[in-house]
Amino acid sequence: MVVVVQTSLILLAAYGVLGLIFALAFHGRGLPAVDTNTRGAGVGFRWIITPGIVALWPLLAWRWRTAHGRGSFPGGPDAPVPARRLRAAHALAWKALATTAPVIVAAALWSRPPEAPRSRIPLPSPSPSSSADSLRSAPQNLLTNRVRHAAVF
Amino acid sequence: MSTTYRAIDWNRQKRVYDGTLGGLLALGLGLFVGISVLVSPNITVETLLIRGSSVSALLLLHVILCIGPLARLNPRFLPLLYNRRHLGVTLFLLALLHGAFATVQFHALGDENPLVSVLTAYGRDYRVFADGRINLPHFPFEPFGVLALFLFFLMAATSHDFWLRNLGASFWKAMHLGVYLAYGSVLVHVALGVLQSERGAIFPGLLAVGFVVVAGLHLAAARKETRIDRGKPLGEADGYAETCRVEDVAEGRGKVVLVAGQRIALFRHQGRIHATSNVCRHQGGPVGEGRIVDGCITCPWHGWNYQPEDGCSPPPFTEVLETYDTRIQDGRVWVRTIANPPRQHCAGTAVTAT
Repeated sequence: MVVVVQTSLILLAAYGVLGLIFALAFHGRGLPAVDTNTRGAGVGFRWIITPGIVALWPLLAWRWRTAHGRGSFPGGPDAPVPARRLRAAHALAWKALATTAPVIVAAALWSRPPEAPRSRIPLPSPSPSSSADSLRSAPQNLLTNRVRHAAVF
Repeated sequence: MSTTYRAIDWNRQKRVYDGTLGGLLALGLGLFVGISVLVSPNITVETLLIRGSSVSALLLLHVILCIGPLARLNPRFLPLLYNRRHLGVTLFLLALLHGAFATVQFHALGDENPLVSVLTAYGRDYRVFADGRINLPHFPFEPFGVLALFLFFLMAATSHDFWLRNLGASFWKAMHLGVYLAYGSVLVHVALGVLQSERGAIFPGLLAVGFVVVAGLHLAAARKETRIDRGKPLGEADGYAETCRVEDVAEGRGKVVLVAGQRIALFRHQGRIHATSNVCRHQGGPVGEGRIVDGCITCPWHGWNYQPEDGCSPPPFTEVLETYDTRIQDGRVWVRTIANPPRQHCAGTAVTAT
């Protein structure tokens, strides 16, 4: 589990670095190629779209490529939103949400233990005066990160 | 509408909107801090920050989810829709604040990468069954918060019109439907997280009320929309479909009608009836619920303009709505079921010509 998460985070970081490099190139030459409305756009606009460029850089690379007449990009700017399909998607999302969320939340509330679950890590100091303060200063934080929120809230 | 993008196209409405949002947030946070300090005098600043940001974000998420159906049910709520994306960005920033504070507070002081700890801490020793029952109180709840934060980020980062144009309206809309998945994740995150230790009924009660309100409004709006789509088809002859009475379309106003299963917007402008597609090229807003402003059809959502005669946005803008031929017969408006070629001039039908 830990190895999977560590590897995923490394891959995510690599994806982000590639996205940053792509963003530099895209700001330089890609923007005017994919969208003429970006010509003359200010620094504020460039800043505001940069997080999205880093996150979605493969899509923009595809779009940049199609702007040069190579391949096609789905959902061009002139394609209208298919309203019926959108309403159907909304309905599906709500059906899923309305059937699962209340069940999970109700089960979680029903299964609440009589007492608040404390950290499963033995506290070094007995009977802290305030659970929140004890967590802030508790040395177990230095030993392991595993601290249950419940002890604070 | 803009030919050159700007970070934010500020205008008076947006300033008022953002000012009101900032004021209400400050007021809400102030109240929350005040009440928390009164109820728990020993509460720490870190806990206040974690709780305050999460409660504000949760409240804002409910407001955001209510705005869409409210605007569908009553046009008086349309001004709330106008700048909803700023609410979304604010929500992301609050959720980020909550995530950052919680990570620092609970995961940053150990010997492990805090992000790895966030995603694995509760899962390591987790057993599905404990004491003969499903072990929900110790279920790893933090990944649900991480998922919601990731979705909020995606939606906030792509809220600018640049993304709508360059990802395509369908893809962009589909991605922003992720707000429902984010809402579900937040509910699970809260129920399996903080509500496992909160003993009172206030927080679960508020969460339930919030869900019922949001779900109820969406249900009511869906019923209204379905009723429109299932409207009884009237007569059809010579490629034209009968729609409504001429008097139903007021001067300078729009009316949505059903033609061959599709919603069409009718407008009366300077005594002539025009028909266009009901779907705005910006975010798919219901053009027919708008009105004529300065001789242009104006979408009620964000004010995008189209000329009634040809469906084109006034220069220098380039968006085009489909237009349809109309005719008036026995005091009723008939609309051609096939759209005109894009940009074709269509004078509309004079109301007096019956």
